[in-house]
Amino acid sequence: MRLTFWVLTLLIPTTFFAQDNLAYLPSSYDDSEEKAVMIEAIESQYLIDIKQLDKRKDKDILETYEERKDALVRRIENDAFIFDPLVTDYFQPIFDVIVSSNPELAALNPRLLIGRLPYPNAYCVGDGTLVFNLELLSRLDNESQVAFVLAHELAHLKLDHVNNTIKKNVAMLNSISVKKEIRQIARQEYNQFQALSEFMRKKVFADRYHKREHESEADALGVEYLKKTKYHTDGALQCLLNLDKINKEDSISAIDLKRHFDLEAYPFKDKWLEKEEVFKFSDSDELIDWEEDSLKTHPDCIPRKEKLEAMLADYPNTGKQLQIRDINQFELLQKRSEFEKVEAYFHLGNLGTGLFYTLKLIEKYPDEPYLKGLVGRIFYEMYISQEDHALSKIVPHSNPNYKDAYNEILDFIHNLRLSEISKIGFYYIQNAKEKHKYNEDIIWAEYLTANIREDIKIANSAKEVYKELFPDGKYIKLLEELENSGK
Amino acid sequence: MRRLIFIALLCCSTFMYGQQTSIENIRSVKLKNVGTLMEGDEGNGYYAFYEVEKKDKKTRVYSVKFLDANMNEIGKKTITGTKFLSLVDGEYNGDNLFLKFIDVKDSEITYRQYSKSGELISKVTEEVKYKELQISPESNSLVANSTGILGVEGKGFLSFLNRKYKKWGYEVRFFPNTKGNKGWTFTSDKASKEIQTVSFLGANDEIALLSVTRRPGAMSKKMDFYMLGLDLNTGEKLFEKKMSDGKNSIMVTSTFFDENTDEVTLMGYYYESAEKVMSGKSKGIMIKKINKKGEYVFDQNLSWASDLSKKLPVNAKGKLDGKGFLYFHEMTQSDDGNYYLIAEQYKKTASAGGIAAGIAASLSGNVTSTMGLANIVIEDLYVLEFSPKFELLGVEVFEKNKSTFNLPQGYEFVNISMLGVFVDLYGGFDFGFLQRAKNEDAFSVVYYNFDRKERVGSINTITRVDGEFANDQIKLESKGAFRGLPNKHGSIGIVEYLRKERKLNFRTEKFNY
Repeated sequence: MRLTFWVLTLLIPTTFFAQDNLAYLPSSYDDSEEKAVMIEAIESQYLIDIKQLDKRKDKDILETYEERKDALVRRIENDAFIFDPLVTDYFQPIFDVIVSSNPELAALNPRLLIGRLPYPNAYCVGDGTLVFNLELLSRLDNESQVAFVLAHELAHLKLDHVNNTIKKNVAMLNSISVKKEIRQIARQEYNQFQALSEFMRKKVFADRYHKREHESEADALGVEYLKKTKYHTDGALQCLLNLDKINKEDSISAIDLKRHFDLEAYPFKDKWLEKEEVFKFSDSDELIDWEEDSLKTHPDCIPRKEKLEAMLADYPNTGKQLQIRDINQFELLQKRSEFEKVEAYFHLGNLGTGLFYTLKLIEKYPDEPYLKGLVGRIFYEMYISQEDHALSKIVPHSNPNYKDAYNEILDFIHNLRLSEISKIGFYYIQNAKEKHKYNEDIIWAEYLTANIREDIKIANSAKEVYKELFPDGKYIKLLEELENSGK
Repeated sequence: MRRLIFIALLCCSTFMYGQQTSIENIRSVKLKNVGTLMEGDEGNGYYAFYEVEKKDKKTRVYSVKFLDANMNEIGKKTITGTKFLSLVDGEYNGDNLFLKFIDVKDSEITYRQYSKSGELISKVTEEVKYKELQISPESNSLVANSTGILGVEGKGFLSFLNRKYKKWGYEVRFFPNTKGNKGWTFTSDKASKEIQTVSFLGANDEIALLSVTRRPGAMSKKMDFYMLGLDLNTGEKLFEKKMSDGKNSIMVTSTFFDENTDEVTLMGYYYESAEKVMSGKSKGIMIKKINKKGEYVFDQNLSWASDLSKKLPVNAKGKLDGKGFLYFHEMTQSDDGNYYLIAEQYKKTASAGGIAAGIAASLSGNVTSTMGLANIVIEDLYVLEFSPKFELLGVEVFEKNKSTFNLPQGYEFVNISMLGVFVDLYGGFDFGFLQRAKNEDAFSVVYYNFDRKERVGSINTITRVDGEFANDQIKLESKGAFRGLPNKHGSIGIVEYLRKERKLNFRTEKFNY
């Protein structure tokens, strides 16, 4: 049964890109009402979906649907999605236009969620919910490209790819032939692992092959949906080109850490930059020979684009536009997504990546106090974790699979002694305070970093200033919590 | 024991590792051994050796998983062998990885060397006598003659093996880094009438330094220590010099190889006579420094009675005021030239369980009980600080909970010094290992503590940095078995058995100082 479950888990389909499974806690707005409405809609749809199943015959499908629903509800509750109208009001009209222009979609009762998680992907859950992660917006150029992504996911929904895959996999695992094969392997005295690996390999490859087929089908139908709107179908082709770039992203420039952290009151130490030696066998004996190409859930974007190009060769796009609304709206949201991304990393508890992208953003927006305050908050959290020997839970160690630029910052963090973490955080914020004395983020970060330096005078002063200037500020609840905990 | 061979809690069906990662292995993959890939004084990675499946009636398929110091998987190698194959030790020398396997059924030792890209550089299999797989000539344990590997940066790996000739002797082998280069083997005099055992002191790109212990017989009270220098490139003996001074007998417990001066510092006890070595009544601590030509550059004895009792509450025989004796583990040096000797307090006590079991056995008509009548009780940790001229400057005592090591039957009559060596050999002390920082003037002592009330263990560190000692404690999550593994200075590898989940948790944590 454990094996069955494992296989089933492995085969639950993902669409467009890999699904996320983490959550983050926003600090700046309350969205409990919107969440409740969304959860109710998901639960209602679940009840409708399971009514169509036979409780006895479709037990495994039913269990999978339930797990899927529970997982989605958990993620909503854990703030994995943005309900702020400043964001949702951009996407919802595009989504509504596609749905209303294609009556067959309205009947499916689809709903859109905007993901807060910093991964550039979008996916169809299978129960009518579509997710578009805000980070994907930073990789797109115009509204028509956004429309194509949504149309593509709506096509997955219409074609019922997710549910069909679940049903197919359950049927496969419960089939007499597969059960017989597993029994035979279990009875085998010798080479059992090899036989099991081969069995898994075949099943996974077959599943991935079908998934790649599904993508092309969704592209084709998605473009048909797009044609019925005012969006330009070049958006689809451009979008695939952009997605191809995401898959090939391989260079990120290093951060000059000395420039950021060489502080007058606490000069930078070169030993903080000592590198860990990382290497990996190129000649490794994997127990299962996973051929990389056969594992892909998505076909390469360029052949997908070429297929669409052939389909759209004679399509005139008369009266269609790449950008219907003001481009400024698009660009403002793109900028916002950059800040959402670093905040999301912070709340996800992935502080190594969070610090990396925050410093990158500071290089782009050097006078943005929110970002400097975030650096202070990150050092505070790193200190608290390391005090409890849990730094590696929020900052991974360098890894031969990571980019050099990222490994550099991870080594830097792990080279710091506890007292050095507190000193850097504290003096960094003191430095930022010179320019942004009355900024909310800086005052809050000063309070935190003074606390870990055990500088009670500065901590108390920062606390009082914060309370006076921002009695309804975004950190006031956290401040009260810390006060109540005696810190 | 410097290198831990963690015979991993038998057959866990799951193996969790990595920073936040857990992998569930399918069905019955059995983890057999986990160990540290040492590079000098630091742990630079780990190996996990597990049995994948039966290939046929006689053959098993094994996989060796290599992890770096951050617990990232860097590669896997599949090998086949009998079901008696074990991976007993590993080392990294900055260039290659070196593994030592034993097969107790076929009485074989196999050495495998891999490059950083995973290419097999050399594989040497040697048939040995079954007895030669024992930990030492005196021991009946099959933990194996295993800990004798030393990596030499830019050169290759040294390995020694105790061999049964006319009497017990030894063999030292050198495996060069380069493919096709066979290296050399040095063998002790096969016709020797003395029992000779060997251990590594250090090596550089010219010379390998080893300490040799010679005794006329297993029960002999006479024991002499020699320093052996071998040419690293040819294996020729450069010198073998006696380390005793003629007046006193000595027992070496700690060594320190200074890579800058190529000098070896030896520390241990000195005794009035060979008889006293076996009775365990030492006169004090001996310190000798020897250069790479085998010449003494420093030689001094510090007596318990006059030199050490000024700072340490000991009597003339080295007994701590009502607390037992000190067992010396390791030694290190700070940049200002001061030496630090790490010691642990231990004493022999009667075993209530052993005595009760003995009485029960005799009442029930059984001839014997296997439980010993004595225990070793281990308590506080001591750091002795010496000046560069070896004046005792101070003693720091770090309190920890008592722990008990049950002695096997018959050991109640063995003297306290030899019992210390025995307990150390079986990893019975709470001291784990010493880590020296490469790039700062700091060292850390790692030791274990167990809270009997809470039934939870902790891994503790004492770090000397900026002229001061700093303590830290990493509390463990579960109530299962655990061990710390050497890592880079400032970090520690932790292997913890999570009883409820039946999982082995394997992670790296930074300690604070």
